[in-house]
Amino acid sequence: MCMKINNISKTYADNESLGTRIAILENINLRVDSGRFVSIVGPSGCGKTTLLKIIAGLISPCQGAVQLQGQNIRLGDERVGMVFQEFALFPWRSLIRNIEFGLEIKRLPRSQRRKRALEYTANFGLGGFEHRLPQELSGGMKQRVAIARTLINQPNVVLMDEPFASLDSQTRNEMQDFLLSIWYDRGETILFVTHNVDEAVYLSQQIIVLSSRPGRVVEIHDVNYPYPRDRTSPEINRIRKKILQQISSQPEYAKFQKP
Amino acid sequence: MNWSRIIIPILLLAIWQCFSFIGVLPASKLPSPAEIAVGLESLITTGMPPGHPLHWHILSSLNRVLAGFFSAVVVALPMGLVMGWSRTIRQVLEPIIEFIRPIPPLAWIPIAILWFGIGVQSAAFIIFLGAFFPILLNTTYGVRRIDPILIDAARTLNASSLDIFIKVLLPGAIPSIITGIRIGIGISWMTLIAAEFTGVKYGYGLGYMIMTARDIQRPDLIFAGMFVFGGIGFSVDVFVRFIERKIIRWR
Repeated sequence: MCMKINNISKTYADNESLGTRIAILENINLRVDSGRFVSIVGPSGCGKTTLLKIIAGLISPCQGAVQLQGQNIRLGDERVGMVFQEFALFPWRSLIRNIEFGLEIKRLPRSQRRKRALEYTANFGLGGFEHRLPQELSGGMKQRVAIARTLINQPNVVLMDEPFASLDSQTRNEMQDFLLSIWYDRGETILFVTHNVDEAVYLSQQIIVLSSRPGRVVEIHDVNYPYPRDRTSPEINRIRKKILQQISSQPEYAKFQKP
Repeated sequence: MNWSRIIIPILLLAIWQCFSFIGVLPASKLPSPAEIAVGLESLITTGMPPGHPLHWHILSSLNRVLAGFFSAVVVALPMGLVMGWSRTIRQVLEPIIEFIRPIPPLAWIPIAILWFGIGVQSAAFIIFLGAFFPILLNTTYGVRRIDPILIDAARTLNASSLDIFIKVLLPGAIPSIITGIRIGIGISWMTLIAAEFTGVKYGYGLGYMIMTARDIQRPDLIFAGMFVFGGIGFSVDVFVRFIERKIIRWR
């Protein structure tokens, strides 16, 4: 299932009385092949999250469309799942009931729901914590619950919006490996937004660099190294350096450096 | 268990009793705790007016409060959810609500009597007004402070608007709703006695009982009635807080 992002632009009303608008994204064209792990990086405020929300159907673009296998994606599309930065778990639901949420929406009988969810808790290393509330879980566990809640619906494309940004670096490394192992087993297409270039280089087969606002595609890098990757190998460092340079040469960054 | 919470009120009662005993406090204005206790006993056995025992007054007052309070919950809860959810609806309703809200419930007594006559209905209506606004405003607030990312998450999981209402907005607003209910039930109880002072001319009701005791100049019975009133209000609050702790493990 190939995903095509066709000529997406988005502007927001800036000042309603003056009628001025701010451009967030400008003519984004992308093609994401099935089963690929693709990251989007760019300076802060470049519209990475907006792009992801447009793909998920949470925000409508001013122009353009997103298609999966030739069909437009609509909000709540079963083929697309999203994982959020702050986990977005329902704090009043236990771990297992968070994971079951999507199945509940599908009106699956309770016993079947529970059975499926228990498989996920076991496979995601969450066994024994089924009835804990999100507030009783560590950051890494919360994010695993959030990923399980999305994957239990068996989407073809998983959108991830800086999913590991609020984790400490140790947990983040663990979660990166965990995500790679799941992806390796299941083979969903992953579109991963991050501001962390190291993370993008470690995880993805393709890295899309966006410009500062309005976000445009600067370059698409292919990272053709086998997994598991060595975070400190020369090839990894070379591509990292190149992307970091591309990002820091964006106007917003230049402005910060030379006031 | 913090024992001073029990010892200090007992101590205060003892001091009060001493002052009454040595005659500093005139019994015609402020009876001693012992006299009030005797008064309470006569309310239970003989009743005030005689033949109208305390428990019937309590039941009749509770009946009015519950009727008013539950109608307030039934109207205010869905309305609060909708107002929290839709900015447009909120903007339309807010000025109307903010105009009516500052009118004290008791100011409605004349019109309530005109509309519903003297009886359960008019008292329930006054209580409804007292409980309605705290429940409405707290529910609205509860919905508005739900993290929008939770709604986004539910929508990406294909939840319909009704699903979001039932599975996200309602449970997410529950802590605020219970706060609103606690405040609302407290105001209901306070409004009730005043409503019964003027709204009940015969029969039963704690407010009516206290007014009858005033008519025959019995401060001991007035205080005993007030004591019952405070005790019930206190117990209801303890009960609601107990429910709150049971339901909301997550906050």
